Amino acid sequence: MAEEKAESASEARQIVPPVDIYETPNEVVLVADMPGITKENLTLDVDNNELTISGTFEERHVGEKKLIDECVYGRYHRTFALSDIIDYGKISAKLDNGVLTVTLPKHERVKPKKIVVETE
Amino acid sequence: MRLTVWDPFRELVREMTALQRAVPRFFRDISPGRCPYPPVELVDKGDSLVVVAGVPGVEKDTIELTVLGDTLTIAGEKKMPAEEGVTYIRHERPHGKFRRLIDLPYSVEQDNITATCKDGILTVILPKAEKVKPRQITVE
Repeated sequence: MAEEKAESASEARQIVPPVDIYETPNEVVLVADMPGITKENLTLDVDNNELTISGTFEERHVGEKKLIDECVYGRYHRTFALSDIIDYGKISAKLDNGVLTVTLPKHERVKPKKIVVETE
Repeated sequence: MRLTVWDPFRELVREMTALQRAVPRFFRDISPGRCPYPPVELVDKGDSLVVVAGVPGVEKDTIELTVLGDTLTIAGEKKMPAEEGVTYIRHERPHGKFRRLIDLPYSVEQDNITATCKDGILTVILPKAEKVKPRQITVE
């Protein structure tokens, strides 16, 4: 049984999840498509100015007759370089319907501040 | 006489289209240079066909599944994560309305098809029609 698992892990497709990244005045948001990934097998790592997201969606029909076999299952993995405007301690993430949303708040000092102009 | 620039890709597309017409129906979805969306897996499980499609971020109430004859259609809409007041730095995720037709190699029992959607994965189970199910024949 253990051997079977090892075989399928090494044969797992490597998939680079497509992402949307957008910026607001207060944060940078990263949205990644990771269908089939659940909280239990998702890994988010921040190390040395890099954010790595990974997770594996295991094959369900190993050895069965496949008529179409496109990139549904596999090992999702991608690394991003983080800018130093991001406050690493405040990074948060949520996973919903196969979509991972990582919110990266900017440091206070880089947030735009409105300056009120006093009139006499 | 009008001179047109020779476009090698147009020739290639013409060849590919001719080739596509010659191959079995269920490869129709793969168009040259474009990945059909959503990506699917079609498995023949003997008594049924199973279709697994990757639809992350697609709201369940926008998904339309229909079977007509031997064709399964998966349609839906995937919205952009944010529109107003944001600046996009990178945009790779497909979005918008999609429709994919999958030719089923066997007739299915239309009234017993079930579908579930979880974690962005749509699973459709289509039981094969009685007459196309594999049968064991015993030799006397």
